[in-house]
Amino acid sequence: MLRQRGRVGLMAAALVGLMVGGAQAQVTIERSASILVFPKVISDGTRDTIIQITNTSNSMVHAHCFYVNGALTFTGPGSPPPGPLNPPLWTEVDFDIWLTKQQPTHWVVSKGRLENPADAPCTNGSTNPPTPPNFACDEAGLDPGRVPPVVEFFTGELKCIEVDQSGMPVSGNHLKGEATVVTLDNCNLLTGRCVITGETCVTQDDCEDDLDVGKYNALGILGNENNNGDNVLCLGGEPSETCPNGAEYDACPEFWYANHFAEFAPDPVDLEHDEVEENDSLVRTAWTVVPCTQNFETQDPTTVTIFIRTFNEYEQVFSSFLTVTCWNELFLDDINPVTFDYTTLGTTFAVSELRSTQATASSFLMVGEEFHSVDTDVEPDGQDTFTSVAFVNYVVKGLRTGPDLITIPPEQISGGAAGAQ
Amino acid sequence: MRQVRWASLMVVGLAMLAASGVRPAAADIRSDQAAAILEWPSIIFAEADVLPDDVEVVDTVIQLTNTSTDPVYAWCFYSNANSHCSNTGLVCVDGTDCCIPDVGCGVCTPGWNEIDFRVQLTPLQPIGWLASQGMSGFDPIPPLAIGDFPINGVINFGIGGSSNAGSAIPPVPESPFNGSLRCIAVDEDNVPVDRNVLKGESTLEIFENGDTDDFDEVQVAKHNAIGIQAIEGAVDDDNVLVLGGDEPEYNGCPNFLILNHFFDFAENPAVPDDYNDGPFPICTALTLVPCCVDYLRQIPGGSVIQYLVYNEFEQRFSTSTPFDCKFVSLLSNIDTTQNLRSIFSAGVAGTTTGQTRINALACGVLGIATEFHDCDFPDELDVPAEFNLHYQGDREEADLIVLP
Repeated sequence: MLRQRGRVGLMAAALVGLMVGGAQAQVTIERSASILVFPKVISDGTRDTIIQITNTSNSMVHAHCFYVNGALTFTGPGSPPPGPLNPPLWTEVDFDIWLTKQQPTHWVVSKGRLENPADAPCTNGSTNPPTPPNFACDEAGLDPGRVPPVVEFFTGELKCIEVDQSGMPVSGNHLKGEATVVTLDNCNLLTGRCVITGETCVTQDDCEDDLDVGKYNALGILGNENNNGDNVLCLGGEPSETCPNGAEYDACPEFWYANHFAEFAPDPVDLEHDEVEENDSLVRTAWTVVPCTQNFETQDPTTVTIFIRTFNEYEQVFSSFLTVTCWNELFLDDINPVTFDYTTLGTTFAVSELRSTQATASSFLMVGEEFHSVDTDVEPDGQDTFTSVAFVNYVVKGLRTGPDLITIPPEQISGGAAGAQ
Repeated sequence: MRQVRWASLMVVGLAMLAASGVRPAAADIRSDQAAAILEWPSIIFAEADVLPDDVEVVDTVIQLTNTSTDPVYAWCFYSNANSHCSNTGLVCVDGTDCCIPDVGCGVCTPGWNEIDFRVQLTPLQPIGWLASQGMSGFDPIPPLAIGDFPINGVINFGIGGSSNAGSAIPPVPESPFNGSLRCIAVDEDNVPVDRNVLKGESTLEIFENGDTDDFDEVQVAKHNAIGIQAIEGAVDDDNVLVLGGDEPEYNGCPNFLILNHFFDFAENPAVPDDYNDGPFPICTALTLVPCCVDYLRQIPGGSVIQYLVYNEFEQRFSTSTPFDCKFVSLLSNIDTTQNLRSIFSAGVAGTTTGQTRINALACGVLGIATEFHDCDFPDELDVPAEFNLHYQGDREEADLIVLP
């Protein structure tokens, strides 16, 4: 009898596993999900970020969102390097939004979105009665709640978790999102150069009216049906004391595959088409990494150690490590000045495979940013480096055995969204 | 005994639950995982003679990677969606491009043709090329020149003796070129295989000259190739690839594509009012390509597209339009040629952002979006950013890709 019970129990467990795991369960950039992660949100006076979130269902949806500020404690000139003497702030601010059926919404993170039903809608204007056109209609529409602005010089992530009206996490898989990072051609007083055009500047008037924009899809984590609605969100993993129902959400990826240019590789289009033969272009790549496990209750930042294998086009492999606490954005040559470098790799294109080391308790999420620069041979006569940026979402493979846990203060799930209404 | 019956019922119940699916219907087209079929909907190349004054070249960098530890072959097809003048044979956008002074006007005829090529990728190998240049020849000694394959199978070899021998990628056939690229995982005999090991990206690069001959400005935009995953064990050895439907070999194309977008001409809310010469209006171009295509008989796919548009007031608009081969349009040109009167225009929609749900009736579609953050249409489309669309549900009907 015992044996039979055990066998049936195993079958049931296997089916539950099948049900909640799903062979294709993965972090996604193109399906509606229950948790949205925007790994890179910047507001520093030169760069600002527009967040877009949409409810893809025909019923009202609520979400509880966290801004996590990953900026270093000291950022001025002469600040200590990142480390124990200069840890990330890891301060979080949370708020609630709610979206009516199929409603899109947006906000600029430096400004937030305050509730004002009198916001003027966009209009083409009319002649009778005379009404001017209005395309500066940022906050027109149903306000999704009271979205606070971020602090000045914010560099961090935004995470939104679908909840029900009472604030309990639910696996609705109704949210999708995008982030648009806008860069202004401001005068960087430290370098004396304009940010985009690279021209020498003393004041803002010396810089042109250029603009640069990069855009990425929010990373979505799909929720499973067995979500118990408590304050500990279980991403992947088997049933345990902490996660009695097993995986309430899909697991974080086991591997990330990042196709990228070798660091400081010449831009191939410039190389092939520019009639001036000197090579004066380059491509750099920055990765922004956030751990999957986050404890908003204890405010303990999670540290992940990542093992990276980089393959060049000759199929030669180089390896390196990266350690990230809470949040970080790093150029490839900051991670390792040798293994990603064009002169080391010998090819323009490369692919890196990233995974958490076995001793690391958390998986991670990431997004990439490519910086393409021309006229890099800066000369006094005004030949200045011009830079444009493109974001890239990377490919995932496999599931971390997990679980990764997102822990929310219990008070925030018992009156959050409802309280906001 | 009672316990066994209870357990059996639970098992049956769980199995039914599992079979019925506990999530909303999810599309299986993925650009965030490796796949057996990759689609790059937007491959663009144009030289200075057809571009505005300062713009010297627009080109596309294509990246393709084998994510497996075994070699893989990719059979790839460039689809050329250019129209051509009936009198001059030149590429045209509309009939006015085909007028010759004192002679008369020809007809701008929509065209479609494909050229295909084959690439062998060694284990875990990334490669990249320019649409304008392609790849040919070998350079077995680093640094690798752009346009050369790295492993020739004579001087150097990959894991297990693999190489890029036999591979060649042609340049796109004309300038300007507006088309797409599709690559299919095959074996050494060009038979499709169920190996989900390909991933890819595309980078649009626009270079400008200022006062010098040297390129001094660049704009870039990037999107992931869209992956269609093979179903393990389902891919047979014939030349008809079945996407979705009752007996699928590959995952089905999506029922809905979901596009979050700014309504055309809405001003960029992140740019301060006092920033230089603002405002900076935003426009979005939508690119769609059909899932179905007959490369054997040279018949392009086509479809009728329905658009459901929601603004931030939860108000809904809709429109529809047919297309063949490839569809590229500013959102505000989908339903009218008078952009400001479009349901995709901020002045009509009333809010800055919207959600558009795209449903294909005849043949499934895949797509990407390109935002221009300095839009003075039709004179100027500047500061691009590309991104992948979202997908929801699977189409009931199968989409077919017929290979030569």
